[in-house]
Amino acid sequence: MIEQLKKIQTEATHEISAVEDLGSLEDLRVKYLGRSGLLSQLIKQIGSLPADEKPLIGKLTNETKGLLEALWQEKLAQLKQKAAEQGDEKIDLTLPAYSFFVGHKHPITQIMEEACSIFTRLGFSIAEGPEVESDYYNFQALNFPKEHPARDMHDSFYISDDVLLRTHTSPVQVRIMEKSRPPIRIIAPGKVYRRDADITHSPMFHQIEGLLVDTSSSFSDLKGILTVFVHQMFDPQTKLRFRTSFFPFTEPSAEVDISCVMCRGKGCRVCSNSGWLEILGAGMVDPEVFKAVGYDPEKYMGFAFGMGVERITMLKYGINDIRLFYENDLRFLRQF
Amino acid sequence: MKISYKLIQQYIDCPLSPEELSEKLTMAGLEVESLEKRGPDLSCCVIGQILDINSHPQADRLTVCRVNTGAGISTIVCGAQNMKPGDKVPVALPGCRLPEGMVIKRSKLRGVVSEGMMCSEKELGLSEESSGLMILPADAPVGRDIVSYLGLNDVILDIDLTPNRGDCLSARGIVREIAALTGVRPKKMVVDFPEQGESIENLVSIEIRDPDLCPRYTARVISNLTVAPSPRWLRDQVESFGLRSINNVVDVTNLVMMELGQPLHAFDYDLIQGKRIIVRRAQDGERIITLDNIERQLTSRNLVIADANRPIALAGVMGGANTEVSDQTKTILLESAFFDPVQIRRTANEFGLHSEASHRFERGVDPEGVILALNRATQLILSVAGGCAAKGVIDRYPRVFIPRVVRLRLPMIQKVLGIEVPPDRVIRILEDLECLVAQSDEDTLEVQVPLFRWDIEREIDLIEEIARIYGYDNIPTSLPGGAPSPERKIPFKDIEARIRNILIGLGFCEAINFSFICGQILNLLSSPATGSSCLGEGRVRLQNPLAEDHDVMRTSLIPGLLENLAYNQNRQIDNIRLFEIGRCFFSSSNGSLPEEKAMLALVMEGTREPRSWKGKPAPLTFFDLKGVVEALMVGLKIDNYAMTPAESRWLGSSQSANLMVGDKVVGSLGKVGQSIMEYFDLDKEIFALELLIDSLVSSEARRGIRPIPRFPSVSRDLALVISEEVPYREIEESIREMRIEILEDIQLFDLYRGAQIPAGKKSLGLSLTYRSSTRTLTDQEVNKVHERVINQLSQKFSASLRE
Ligand SMILES: [Zn+2]
Repeated sequence: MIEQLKKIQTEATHEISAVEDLGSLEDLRVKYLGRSGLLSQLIKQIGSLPADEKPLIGKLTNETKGLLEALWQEKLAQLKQKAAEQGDEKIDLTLPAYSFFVGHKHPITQIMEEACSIFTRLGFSIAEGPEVESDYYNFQALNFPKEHPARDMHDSFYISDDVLLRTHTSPVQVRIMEKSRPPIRIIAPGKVYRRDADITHSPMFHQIEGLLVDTSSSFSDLKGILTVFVHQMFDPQTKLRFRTSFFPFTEPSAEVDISCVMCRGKGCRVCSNSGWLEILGAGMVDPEVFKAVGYDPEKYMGFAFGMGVERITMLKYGINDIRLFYENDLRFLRQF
Repeated sequence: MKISYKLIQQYIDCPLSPEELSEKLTMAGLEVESLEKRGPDLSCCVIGQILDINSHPQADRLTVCRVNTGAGISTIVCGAQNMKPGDKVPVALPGCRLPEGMVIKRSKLRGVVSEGMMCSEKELGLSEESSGLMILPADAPVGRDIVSYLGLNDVILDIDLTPNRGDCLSARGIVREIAALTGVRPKKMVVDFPEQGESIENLVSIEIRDPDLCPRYTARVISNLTVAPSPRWLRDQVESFGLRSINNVVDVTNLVMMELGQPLHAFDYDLIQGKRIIVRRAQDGERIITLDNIERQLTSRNLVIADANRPIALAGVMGGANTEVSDQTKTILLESAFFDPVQIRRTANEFGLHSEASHRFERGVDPEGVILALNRATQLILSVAGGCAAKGVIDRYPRVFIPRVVRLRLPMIQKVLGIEVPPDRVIRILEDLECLVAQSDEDTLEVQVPLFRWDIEREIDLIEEIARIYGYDNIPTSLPGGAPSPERKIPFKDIEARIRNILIGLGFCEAINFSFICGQILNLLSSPATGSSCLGEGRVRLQNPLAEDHDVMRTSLIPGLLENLAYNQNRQIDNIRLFEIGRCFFSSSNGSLPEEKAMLALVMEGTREPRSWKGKPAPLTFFDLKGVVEALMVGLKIDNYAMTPAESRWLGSSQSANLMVGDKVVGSLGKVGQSIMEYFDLDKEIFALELLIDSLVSSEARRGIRPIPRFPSVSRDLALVISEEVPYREIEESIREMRIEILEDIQLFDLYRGAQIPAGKKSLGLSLTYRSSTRTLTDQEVNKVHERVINQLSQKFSASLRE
């Protein structure tokens, strides 16, 4: 038996050290160390040996088993290492990929989401209103009386004498104030419509409206909020300029310019050499609007602002034709 | 409003350059859109010094001068007598075009070559008459161009005025602003002229019948004048405002309108019948031919100026042809009035007649300024057209305007602006704006607002004036404090964002289309042949679409996407996958506003995956579309959905299904049918989906987490040969109806027709997964249950088990 044991040990040692791949190594493990391998067969025979030989043979067998197992472990580790180094299969890594179709959000959506997230971080919630509006919400409640020249600023699409496609997102201000009490901080993104079509005007475009109403909020707060927005939307070096303007529903009103993103304020074609780009309108909520929604203008103060999303998107990406947004040419959409 | 910088300088000593001025005005709300250089084109006219003067060999009245022009010595033949050697004069060199149109060339004059021309003031367009050359001061630099030396350059400021600032539609208004912004007082305008002969009251009678529409009407009569082309200075000034020169009388009325903001009108006095002026509403059916030679039919909504017999002007909007000033006119009646702004706006809109005059009346002129304008115009007409002004003015002023007094509480300024403006600064600003300010107590001012500021009615209007003159830039920046406002969450905004993310992950690009489309396309989509959408019908039509094919608000997003698809296909783009999220509009029977529904639609064509060297990718089928819907539902955590064959066709194809959530139809999906493909000129197979986003909002499964299984599952396959007539869903349902507790999942892994399968039959390979949540299943247990399934199927569908 000892002879047999020795023979197994010699052959196994030889074969294990010679083996070159994991598969053959596993075969050897089964052959020698497996449940019905050569060693196990030998161990089964130990029972039938004379009692005085048992301890010695048992000990030797265990030693051999231990030895072979160690040898196998070592080889296994060696081969695994080698396999890992070599890789399982040699391939031409420079072949092109099996691609996936990749989708893209519309650039307008991306800028709207970005703007909304900036304002949400500032504590604003998102609000909505109908795109087909009544004259009352689109104009009258916002202090655009009928027969007033201010209405010339908005060339509207009419459904009936009293119903039109909203010309701005400002009616949402009125609807929200009618439904709730201050404090209010909302922004209302959405589509708006004006009868105007050329390279910089689209009959449908997107606006984001903002409204903050509280017992104390001032023009300087408005400047602050919009400064934070512009610095996050463009970059913190962007300068802002607030200049006097007129909107019937705010007083005082301001048009907000940012330093030109193309030329950094030096003057170029995009900013008509002024160094400034107009990006939004804003102002303190006019007391007439508060009266229209039943707020006491002596008690509440607020400000509102509105911006054109196309305008901001065009500036951010250097797009010079607004019509690109609505052609939905995949060669355009896939760039965003 | 266009205004010349040089003209501004005539009214105020403006200390700012054109650039500084436009910056200042822009910040104060008078947005200067552009600065346009303007001046005589005298590019080849320089200052020259006469070196010597010799007589012309051939002509006694001419001289031959040698002139240093800086660039060299030129020989110039000259007809003037008033110069001497050493004089400095303007020299037009060859190539120079003089204002009267003459182009200077090198030429022979009576045998002597002349290399230019020495000019008089008249020749340079600087005055009407002049004798002899223009002799320049001795220190004039030789060689310098004359335009810059004489300061002939001008800059035109083009100011985009907001509708509230009607008071700035004149040079005077803009000068008032400059005065307030710079603290420089405007120059005083002196109006003085002789009156002669008859009193005006004997020449004409004036009556206002509708004082609500015409609170004030004033007039003068000027006789014996000569209507002629305007002198150059008048032409230049009128043109500097962007107006066209017509004749001396009309040009004066226009110039005064631009100067003072008060529109004027001149009637040919001799054509006024009965020598009466009546300001009244028109009678229904009355007609007038306006100055643009169009006959207008009037109604009692319109205000007219009439004589004894007929309308002679559409008040404040346009004069009538019947009393137009012409070359033959000898005597004029000059009108300066105040008309009701709303009335003017209505009439101007009604006739589509928007004139410089109506533009100003609509925004409100200065009722106290009408006489000044009348007199200023009279003075100018006398100086350019001669004649004499009748004695006196007719001034009918039945409705006198009283200036408003507005209370201003000083603490309100800080409350609104967030900065304290010192009271003396506040008072100074208001006074600079020509308000009268009285302090009633420490914190309160009583401010009397001048009548030309129609936009200042309330305290907040005064605060805006203070803010803009003080400068928005001087207001600090802060962030609002206060209580957080309650969060108002819109659930479907959230869902829309999730839908977008899922779909871009599946390779779809987002499109945005106009909300208005062609009504004809919607007809096609819902015709009996193509079936109908389950999502709604009633149309919302535009009264005034920009284009005929944009006349109806969309009731489906599909047409827009199909148009985009065709657009891209025509540009050799394939594998197009597009989606859009937007609202559709349906007329509603209750309420005045249409119903707006947020919808999602998508279209896809091409192959399942991009082409690659792996092999040819499989073309898309209806089941890929189902897969997209499934991914969407999983991503939105909607469990109780189903896609069931539609009873009616959608988009004209039999491959169409309804998307159900619970027992509600929320959308349609299917292949795009032939007639629609033809309409959009498409030829590849397209699959489309449209659904109502609103109905998904409340469908999200509100469940806790399902425990991760702790025991192994067992799978058993079975292959059934079954009649073609049996839809797959019935097989699956009949297994589920058995309510086998340990049945976890059913999967179809094979569908086969053809050899070895009898005609009219199909072979299905199903894999059933069994699992218990409480124990490891034994083979025996599973076999028993599986056996029951097989029996059920073979009995119910006479299916046979295939080996
Ligand atoms: Zn620039």
